[in-house]
Amino acid sequence: MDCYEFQDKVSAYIEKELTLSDVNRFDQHLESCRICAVAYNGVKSAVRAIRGSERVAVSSGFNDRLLGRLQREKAKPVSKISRLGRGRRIFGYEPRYAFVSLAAVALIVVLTIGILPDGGGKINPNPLPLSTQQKVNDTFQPAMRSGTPAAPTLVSDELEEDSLATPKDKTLKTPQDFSGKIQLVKNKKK
Amino acid sequence: MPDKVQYSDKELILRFQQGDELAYVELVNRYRDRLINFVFRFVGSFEEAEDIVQDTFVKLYQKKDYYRPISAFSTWIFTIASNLAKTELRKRKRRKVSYLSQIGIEEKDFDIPVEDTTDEETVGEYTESQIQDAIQSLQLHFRTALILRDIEELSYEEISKILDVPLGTIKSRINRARLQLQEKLKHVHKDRRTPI
Repeated sequence: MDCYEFQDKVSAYIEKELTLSDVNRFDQHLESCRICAVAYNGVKSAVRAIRGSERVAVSSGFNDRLLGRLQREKAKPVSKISRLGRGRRIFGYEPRYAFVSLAAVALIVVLTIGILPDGGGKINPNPLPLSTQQKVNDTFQPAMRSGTPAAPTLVSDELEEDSLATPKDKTLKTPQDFSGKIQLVKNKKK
Repeated sequence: MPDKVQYSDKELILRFQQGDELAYVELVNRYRDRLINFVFRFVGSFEEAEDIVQDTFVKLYQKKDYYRPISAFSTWIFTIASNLAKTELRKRKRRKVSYLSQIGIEEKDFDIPVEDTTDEETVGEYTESQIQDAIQSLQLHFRTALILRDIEELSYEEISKILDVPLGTIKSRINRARLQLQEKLKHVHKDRRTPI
């Protein structure tokens, strides 16, 4: 028996759970190895100490306090979830999780419908809202119909302040530059 | 419930399940001290231990119908107490972490001087607090198994059921816990011998 095996079997030896042959091997090692003998005596002494250690008892009035608590617990109103019953399940989930899951599914459906393009998958060529489209038409249609290029329009302050825009972008834009994009036109205020 | 009749734990819990509240009181009287010893060694604070034992008996009252007579009542009640004690330790750990995170860099920890324990009762070679400190310093899974074996004196089979761990693992944990315990207590001896 080596030291590892000896230490593995210390408790079994103390509790007399070893076979006779293992007991003999254990005893032989105990006599020959001083380190393991110290460990063995230490374990025996620790077990003796812990088994002989002071036992505590509950304080006086323990039962009265317990019965008081039970009375309070009984008086507590039963929550809605408790009333639904622990064992009852909806779609295999506890009621609260089932409701949360349903709400999440409903949200996903609503968002998906909102994002999907109109007209059964066809992409709307004019994604602007109707009122905005009308404004764009009112502004640019006469000039386009007359065949002359429209007067350059000053882009809004927000666009001008855009640091990513090139100087050319900031100054002059023709109506063609804005086709299909959201634009803020200052001179339409009136 | 008639007096002077010694009911077994199983009989008592079955009577309680049928509505006999005196059977519940008898179970409380039978197990309160065993549980407080177990939980006190586990959490290290008597007040907390008593609260946990109260919680255990409240759970017993509320969940009495969950008990099935296929297992020993002691196994069931120790399982409840053990789970509640573990939950309490987890809460305590979280509180400690949040407290430490609130301490500023400038704030400093000061060591509280250790009280003189010369008046303390000794158990063989060690004082009660040395034993308690050594038990507390063990890892949770070693500590639980060791307390159930050496303080509660439960069988390996019962401990295996309470902790829901294979029998071989329990035996190994208890052996390792004892080896660690003797190492820690050995240092106590050395410290005591060192001249100041």
